[in-house]
Amino acid sequence: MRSMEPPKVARWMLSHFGCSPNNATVIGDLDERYRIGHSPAWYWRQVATAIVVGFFKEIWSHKLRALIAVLTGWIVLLAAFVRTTNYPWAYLSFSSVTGSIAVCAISAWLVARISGSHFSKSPVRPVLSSTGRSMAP
Amino acid sequence: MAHDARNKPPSATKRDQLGNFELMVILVLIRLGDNAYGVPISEELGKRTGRDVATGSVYAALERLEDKGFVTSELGEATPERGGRAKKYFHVTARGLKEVRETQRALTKLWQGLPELLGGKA
Repeated sequence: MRSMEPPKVARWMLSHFGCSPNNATVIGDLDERYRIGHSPAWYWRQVATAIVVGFFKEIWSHKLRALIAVLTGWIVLLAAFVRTTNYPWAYLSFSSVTGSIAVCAISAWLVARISGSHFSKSPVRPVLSSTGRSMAP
Repeated sequence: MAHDARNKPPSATKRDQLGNFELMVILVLIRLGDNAYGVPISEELGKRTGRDVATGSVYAALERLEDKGFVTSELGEATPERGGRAKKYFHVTARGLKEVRETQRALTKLWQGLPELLGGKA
């Protein structure tokens, strides 16, 4: 029989990685709908969508900061690559470029989070507080 | 290509226009009246469109509508089935209603005289 309690890990993920200003309300809505009769798979799908939608919305609303973070991350990666290999042009291969863009996009998201109103709630605060404060305007 | 400013529709900037999904959400808000919070909004949208609508996407649209001044919100009661979290009720503003009417007018004009769309065959 299906538990009436929504998947705890999914809920934890949404409460920590969801960027919407209505995050608590979204969790409440999902819990209510889950108890009406939706499946755990449905709950997980909803959580994944909410995190992804919030991620892109956050990046979009902090375009300049995100761009700076992506460029900074990319330059750091490029510098590290140039220092550690004899073939720096390999950095420009498709997989390297897409991989580094993904890493930089995530770093952009973190920068946007720690420099915005979410900072006080962010799980990465203890790790990034010093660098975040120096990067935030 | 040069655009004539006189050909612009009366309704403000592009940023203030309603997107497709935003229009659907605002129509559901009008339909639900005072009971418009996340759960009925998502379910009504799903029922009317025949698709499972993600709650996260609904809130993203509601936040955009609120930014544009087409919708206001207020916190409601918290219930045990929501894990003690408060509901958030959404209401369409006079500006939002005006924008819906203008969008309807524009779409109706675009719809008229298109034989391809008559008869219901794809």
